[in-house]
Formats: sequence, C-alpha cells, structure tokens
Amino acid sequence: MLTWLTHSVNGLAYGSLLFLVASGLTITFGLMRTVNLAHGAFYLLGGYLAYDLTTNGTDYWLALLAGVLAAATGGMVVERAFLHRLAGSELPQIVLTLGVAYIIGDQILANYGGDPVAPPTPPGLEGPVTIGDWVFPKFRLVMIGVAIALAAVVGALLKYTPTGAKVRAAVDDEEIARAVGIRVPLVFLLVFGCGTGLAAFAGVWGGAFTSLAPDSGFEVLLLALIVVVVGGLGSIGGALLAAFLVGLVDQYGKVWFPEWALFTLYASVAALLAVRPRGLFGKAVFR
Amino acid sequence: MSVAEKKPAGAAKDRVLSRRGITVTGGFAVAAVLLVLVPSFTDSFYTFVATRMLLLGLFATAYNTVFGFGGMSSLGHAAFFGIGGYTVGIAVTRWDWPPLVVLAAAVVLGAAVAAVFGVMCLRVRGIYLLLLTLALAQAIAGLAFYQTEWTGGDNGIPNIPRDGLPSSVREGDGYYMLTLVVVAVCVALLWMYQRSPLGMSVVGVRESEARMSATGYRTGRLRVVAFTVSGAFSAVAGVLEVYLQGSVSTANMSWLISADVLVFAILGGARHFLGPFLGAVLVTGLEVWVSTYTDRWTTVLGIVYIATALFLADGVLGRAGWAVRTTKSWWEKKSSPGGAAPPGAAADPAGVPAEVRA
Amino acid sequence: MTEYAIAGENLTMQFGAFRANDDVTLKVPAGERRALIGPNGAGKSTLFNLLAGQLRPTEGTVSLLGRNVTRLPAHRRARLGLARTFQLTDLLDELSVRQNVELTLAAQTGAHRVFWRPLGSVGRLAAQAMEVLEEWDLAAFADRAVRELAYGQQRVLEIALAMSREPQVLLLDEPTAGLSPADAHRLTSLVAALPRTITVVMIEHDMEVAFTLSDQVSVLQQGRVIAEGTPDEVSTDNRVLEAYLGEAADA
Repeated sequence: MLTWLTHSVNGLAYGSLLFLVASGLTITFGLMRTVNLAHGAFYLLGGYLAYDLTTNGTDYWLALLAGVLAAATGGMVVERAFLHRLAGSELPQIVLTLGVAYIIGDQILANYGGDPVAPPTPPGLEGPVTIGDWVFPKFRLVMIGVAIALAAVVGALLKYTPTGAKVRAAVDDEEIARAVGIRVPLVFLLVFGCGTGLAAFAGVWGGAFTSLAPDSGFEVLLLALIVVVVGGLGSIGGALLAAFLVGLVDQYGKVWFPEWALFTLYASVAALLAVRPRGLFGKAVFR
Repeated sequence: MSVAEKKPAGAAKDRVLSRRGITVTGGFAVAAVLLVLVPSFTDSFYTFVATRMLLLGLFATAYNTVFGFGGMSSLGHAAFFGIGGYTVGIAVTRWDWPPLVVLAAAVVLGAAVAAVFGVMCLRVRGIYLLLLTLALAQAIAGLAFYQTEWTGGDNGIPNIPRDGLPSSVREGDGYYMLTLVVVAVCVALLWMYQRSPLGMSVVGVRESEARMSATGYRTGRLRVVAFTVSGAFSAVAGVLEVYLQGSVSTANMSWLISADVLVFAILGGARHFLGPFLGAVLVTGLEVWVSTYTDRWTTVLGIVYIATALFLADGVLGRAGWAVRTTKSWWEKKSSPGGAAPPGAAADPAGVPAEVRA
Repeated sequence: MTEYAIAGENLTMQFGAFRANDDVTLKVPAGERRALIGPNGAGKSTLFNLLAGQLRPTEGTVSLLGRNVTRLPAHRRARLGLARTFQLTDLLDELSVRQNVELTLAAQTGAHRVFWRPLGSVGRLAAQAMEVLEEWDLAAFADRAVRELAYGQQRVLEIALAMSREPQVLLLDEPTAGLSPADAHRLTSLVAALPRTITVVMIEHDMEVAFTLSDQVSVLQQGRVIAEGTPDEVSTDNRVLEAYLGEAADA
C-alpha cells in the first residue's frame, strides 16, 4: 500500500517538476504562440549558474535569483534581437531557438564539462518527512505544493489583474491592443523574460531533483512541450493537470513495464494529439 | 484578345536539345565525373566525409518529399533513418542477412512506420504536426532505448560485420562508390516520383487541399503516400550510414537528427529538388572545416541555424534563383527601353472585394 | 418523382450558437440556370459548401443527380459529376497554368496514379491541357505560375478547370467578384455560352449578372430562403426588396 503511495507521490513530484519547467513555456508558447526550443537551454543556464555560484560560496537564494535574472535577461535579448522579427512564422522560430539552444548547451559543455552536476537542495528543505510509517523526501513534497501554488498565482495574475488583461489582449489581437495604447512589444518582451526566468528557476530546483548535464536540456524541453500541448495551449490549469498525468504515467510505466516506458508515454501523447490536437483544455484548433 | 502562342507537339523533344537542355545535361555529366573521381583525389578521411555527404544528401532529399513538396513540417524523420540503421544492426548480427535483403527489409519497415505516421497526422497542421511527428519519433526511439535485448539499449549494437558486402565495396573508396551508386539511383527515383502525376498531386495538396479534393483527389491518401515514400528512402539513407559506421545506437534516432535534416532542407532551399541535398553537403562540409580549428562546432552550428532562420528562409537555391531572376529582368529592361511588359504580367487586380461573407 | 440535378432538402447548418443555414430547401432541375442571391451573411457560401461536400449538414440531405450524397465527402461528389469554384480564388498558385489543368484532367483518368513518368508525358494529358487552354484563351500563359496571372485571368482559369472535367453540375461562387467591368462582362458571356447539358448554380452579388444569366432565382436572408422565382418575379417581390433595402436603411 505504502509503495503505491510512494510511487504516486513520486509521479506527482516529477510531474510538478515538469510543470515548473513547462510553466514558462505555457506563457511563451501557450499564450504568445512563440516557439522557443531554447527553453531547455535556459533551464540549464539557471541551474548551472546557481551551481557555480553556490559551489563558490554564494548564498543559495542569491544564487537562485542570479540564475533566474540571467536567464530572464538572456531571454529578453533573444526576443528583442531576433524573435520578434519572426513573429507568426513557426519554422524560422524553431530553427532560430534551436540555434540558441545549441550555443548555450555547447558553452556549458565547454565551461563545465559533460559530467552531471547538481545545485544543492534548497536549505531548509533537505531531509525526509515522516507521516506515520511513510517516509518521503521533504523537497519533493514541497515541489508539489510549489507547482500548485505557481499555477494558481500565474492563472490568477492573468485572469484578475490589469497586467494580465493587457497580456491577454496583446496576445488575442495585437492590432487592437496597440490601438488601445497597450505597448505590445514591451508586453511581449517582459512576458518572454518571465518565461525564461521560470525555466531557470525550474533548472535550479530540477537540477537538485534529477541533476544536470549539457544534453539534459533537450529531454526536459521535450517533456515540457508535451505537457503544454497536451494540457492545451493557453491553459495553465491544463498544463498542471497534464504535467501530473505525464509524471504518473512515466512513473508507473517504469514500474509496470520498464521495457516499454518511454514508448508508452510518447505513444499515448501522440494518440491524444492525433485525435484531439487541442489537448485537454485548449481552444479548438482551426486548420 | 491575347495572342495564343501555339506550341507544336514536338516541343518537348526540342526542349531537351535546346540550349538549356544541353547546359543541364552537360552540368550533370560534369558533376557525375567529378563525383566518381573524388576518392582518387582525397585521403580516406575525406572519402569518409564525402560518403556521409552523399547519404545525408539522400536523407534530406527524401525528407523534402514531405516537407518542401508536401507542405508538411515533420520533426520525426529520425525514426525512419534510425529504423533503417537498426534493421542493419539487428538483421546482420542476429541472422546474417545479405545486404540486399537487409535493404529491402529496411525499406519496407521505414515505409510502413512512415505510413502510420502519415495516418496519425491527417488531422493536424503546422506546429501541431511538428509536435505530433516529434512525439511519434520519440515513441519509436523509446523502443530503441528500452528494448535492450534487441537493440542494445543506449549502447546500441557495435561491431557490425560487413562481410555480407562484396569485399571491393566493404569500406573506404569502394564503399564510397557503392554509396554513390545507391544514392544516385535513389535520387533519380525520387526525381521521377516528384515530377509524376502522383508526386505533383501531393504538391497540389500543399498548394490547396480544398481545390484538390473538389477536383476529385483523395487528399488524405496523398498525404500518407508522401510520408510512405519519404520514410522508405530515409531508411535507405539510414542503412548506408550504419554500413559506413559499423555500429548503430540510439543516437541514430535522436531528434537532433530530425532537426538537422529540417535545417538542411531550409538552408539549401526547400522548394527546389536538390536544395536539401545542397544543404546537407554545406553543413557537413562546414562541420569538417570548422572542426579542424575548434572543438566548438556545436556553437558554430547554432550560429548557422540562427543565420538561416534570419536571412535564408528560402534557402541558398531560393536566394540564387531570386538573384538570377532579378538579374534577368534587369537585363531585359535594359535591352528593351520602354518595351511592353510580357503578356500576363501581374498587373494589379481591379480590387479584391472587401465583402467576403455570404 | 422528378430527378433534380442537385438538391438540398431541409438543410440546417449550425456552428455552435450560430445557425448559418436554417431549413433550406433548394431543388435545381437539370439544365437550369439558378442564381442564389441575398444580403451579406445570408448563408449562401455555406449552402454551397453543404452542396459540394466541404461541410456536413447538422440536419437535412443533399442529393446529386438523383443520388443521396449527404454522407459523401467532397472528392466523391466531384467524381460523380460536380464541379465548383471558390469565392476566393483557390488555385495551385506555385504551379504553372498548364500543370493546374493537367492535374485536373489527370483526376478523371487513371493518369493520376502514375508515379514514374513526368506529369506532362502521360497519355494525352499535355495535348488535352493545351486544348483546354486554347479554348479559354489562356494558352499564352501556359507555363507561367498561376500567381503571376492577373486576378481576372485566374477567375477564368478556375472556370476553365471546372469545365474541363465535363461536369454535369457546376457551382460558381461569386464568379465576377473582384473583376473589372470588362472582365466581368467577358466572364458573363462565357457562362452564358455554357451548354444546356450542364446545370449551373451561381452565387452572385451583381444583380444584373444574376438576372441576365439565370432562369430561376433563390433569395436567402439570414440562413433562410425567403423567395424563389423568375428574375422578374423576384426583382419585384416586396420581401426581397425589404431584405436588401431594410439592410441599407439600418446601416
């Protein structure tokens, strides 16, 4: 009985990590419809920077902040310099952001080598939690809570605040938004920065969970993309739900049929997308 | 009324003997001779590189059947490439199949899996198509990863014997010639397919699905056909790669390969039959050259990707074609001052209706 | 029971909360020229999409040459003898004029299954295509890409393509839209000259064209047929006048 609990909570914890990674992507891809395949690279950037700083004695939370800010700035530079010119054209965006990802990944490889590294677990969150007979790492439980809280906060920001309204307006109809005085380029710039910043945050915590290596950026990116699309573009709640589902399927897949693990996961996702491209909660897709 | 220029029925034959026909045939002859002579001029390393350029060129051309000509953006072609490779690995190390049988099996498997991809992708377009093909390819890669008993898992299948091949073409210069022949035949087949009614009707679906179905074409079936052809020839490229390298692993199915072939096609020019081939040659050549100076080839590749996205959306051949056309019309304007515009030139239409609701 | 060339019975098309066609019945006997008119948003193009198979009705049936085709997709109906043009010209823009015709012709014969010889060299496709182009005065542009043609010529090409399939029923969606008066006049003569073996249904905004070309007129407003009759009858029908003038008065 307790094993099932452990498996399930592990699955939810992994799903939470996926949501943390995907949260930035739900904003840039789900909302802005900008394809950013460098998302995984910003994840790595945040994680490696935090690792570097904490190894050299910086306070954990400062290092985390530095990582997030670096990624946010990097993201905004990419958006301003390159991406905004390619608005609406997915293929060039894909190619461009892949290029950015390759560069970041390779530079990380050059500076830190190919062996896995891990930023530390956040101070205060180390160690286990004991509930009766059941023991579980505290960090992972907290991660689940953080994912839910993040989803709630971002969703609320978008739905109930004037800033959120401006963002939704800019995304829905750029021309009208401009006509009403919303500074659309600035909105997109800041939103993109938030997206990459969130990726970095996920990198620092995810790195503590599963450790980091130069090519783990792409694995993480793939899963995040899937979470966003399965959940439905534009739906934060959908992404959270999808992330939990993916986490659970992945966990139980590995437990029940390890030889089919990845296949089951991706085949299920493919089947869903083939039949229902809009995912769980997305708006209907028009050809 | 406009003057109808009557084209006599024998025009087709005349075209081959025309100046343009001779230039094109001549060009191909020269290229063929050069390609055959490559090994005599280069050492074994560069022959190896040239062999890879050929097979990657085939892969890119096969990919473009679906991408540039079919109008469907796929990020899943690594699956077919990898299937070709694993067919070699498994069939040779387990059952010692001769190469022709291996090739046939790879083609059938590649085509079959591609057909499945095509069917599943019928309802999706654009970014969703990219993601769906990616997910499908990852599912296949997942099999390669975890069915360790068959595939060797992450380590793959090393030391694949090439005894099945005749000794003269087993490696080095001989293998290069074998690859050259196989690639030439496949590219020729793809060329014939592309210009045939079947191939052209797929292009038609790219241009306007509504028009094609209103004309009586089964557009869904055509999309699946495009995938099937593409998968079959991609698998051939995968076979060539593994006989060349002597081993196969999950790297042969990595989605980075799918990304690479996409960029080959865009960089070389996706609307031109030989564009992707050129893209493959350029990038591979660049990699070899850059790697002599630095370990940071991946960074350079990233820069190439960025430059392509920003400046080369229609590819090298596209830009070249544009340059030729611009020069031609500039030349025409110079030679006929105040001359009449050629018939049917796109004069501005007399206002497209604003009201389109009915 | 009379067999109609094309008929829609009790057709309703619902898009979410919006009812584009409401219980529409349209029956066109063989050889007739029918014009479909009505103010903007009346549901005319939707009706065409239902008749031709681009859309499946929420309710109702469609029959083509006596056969119930409600469940048949567009390409099947095309093969049964139906041809249509689109409101916004929808041609294979990057291909040449000649290739557009060849592909259209190839659909009729087994030629479209050939996968080893070039399109132009299969059977008599090339010769037949040139015949079609000469018939419609487009031979000079045979090797130009369609997107290089002037809009008026593209419209003519669309009709040429539809006619090259020797259809029994032809649906023309606003054939003269966007054309200069000279081009519109030319197109009207072309349509008028079509043989009576073909049934023609056309959506038209240009009243003169609609009334000149048609035997019968059906008037749609807000998804419903509000009047039907000869051009004379319809042009003096109060309901029709109200539908158009009423709209103008509100605007």
